[in-house]
Amino acid sequence: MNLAALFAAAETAETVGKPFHTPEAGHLFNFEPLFCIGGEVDGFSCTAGLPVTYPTIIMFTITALLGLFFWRAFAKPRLVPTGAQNVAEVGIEFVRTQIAQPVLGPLGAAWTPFLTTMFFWVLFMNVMGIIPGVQFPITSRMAYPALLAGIVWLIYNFIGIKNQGFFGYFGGIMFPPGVPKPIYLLLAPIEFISTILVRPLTLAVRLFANMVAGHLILAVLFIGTAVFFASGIGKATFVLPLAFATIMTGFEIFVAAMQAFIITILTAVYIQGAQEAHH
Amino acid sequence: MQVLAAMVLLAQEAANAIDFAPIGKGLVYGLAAIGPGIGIGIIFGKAIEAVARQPEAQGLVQPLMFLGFALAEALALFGFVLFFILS
Repeated sequence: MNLAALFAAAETAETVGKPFHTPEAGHLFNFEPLFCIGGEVDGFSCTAGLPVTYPTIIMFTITALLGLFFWRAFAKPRLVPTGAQNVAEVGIEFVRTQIAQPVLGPLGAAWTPFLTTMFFWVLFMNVMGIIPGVQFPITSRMAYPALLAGIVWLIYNFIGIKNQGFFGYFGGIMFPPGVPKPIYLLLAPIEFISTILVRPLTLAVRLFANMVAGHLILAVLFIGTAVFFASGIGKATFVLPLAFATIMTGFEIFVAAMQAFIITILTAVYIQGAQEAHH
Repeated sequence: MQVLAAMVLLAQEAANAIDFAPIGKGLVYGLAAIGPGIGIGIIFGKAIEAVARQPEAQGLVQPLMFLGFALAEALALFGFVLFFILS
């Protein structure tokens, strides 16, 4: 079908002349369950049992493929890497050299597997937002960033209590040395809230907010392209939102990689802060 | 005197007529993002300056930079979360 025929079809479409209503944000992020394990589908939830939605299926598929790739790459490791091992080693080298070693020092080697897993999982879940066919960043559902933040919170508190003792850890957080005594009255609650409550919250919300905002921008621009095309306000005005959407897709790739890097390096920083007694 | 009373009455009418709830909801994140924007810019600028003066210091400076960034961005994220909490 050539472009003229497409334009002719658009100008007689049912939406010409009618006001345009932007979709609610909920329509972009809430999915109806495709089926329920142990129950019946009931609107957006299940009467009983576990709902399985489109993002759930994508998440499990990509996680399985990621695990399979790294497993296959190191099934028969060779001293001089080739093939899949080569590619996987580039990724692991990046996390080890840029995140684990600068922040954690000699302990970086022990934490590299965990940090590599977190980095690549978050990267692939973020990038799902721009892959054609899926086009939904899995990490824009708050459950996933919240789970990661909960895991990191448990880890750095456990490491802190294990290395410094229960009272040593919280005492070190709330009463850092080198501060005049009366200031502790103000400083201790602030430090406690900042380290124990705010850190997991911001870790989760940072990732969630970035992915939600990016997905909203891309959705609005692509819907706008379709609306411009069908509204008949000018034959070729649809290229304007389309061009902007292309630029924003490139920006989304950058944001996906950046958010994966930031959440991994912040995890490393929090673990390192809990390892040693403060000064 | 009469004019003043009339002006006060008009202002009250306008205040009753304007719906401030959506305006307030929109301002929450906008205002919350100003301070952290400046703060994060300062943090990263200083870190870049430090590494440019002494490249060997990157290992020392970089973790501190990320820690400071996380604390400064927390305030902006509070505004973002508050937008969703406000009904």
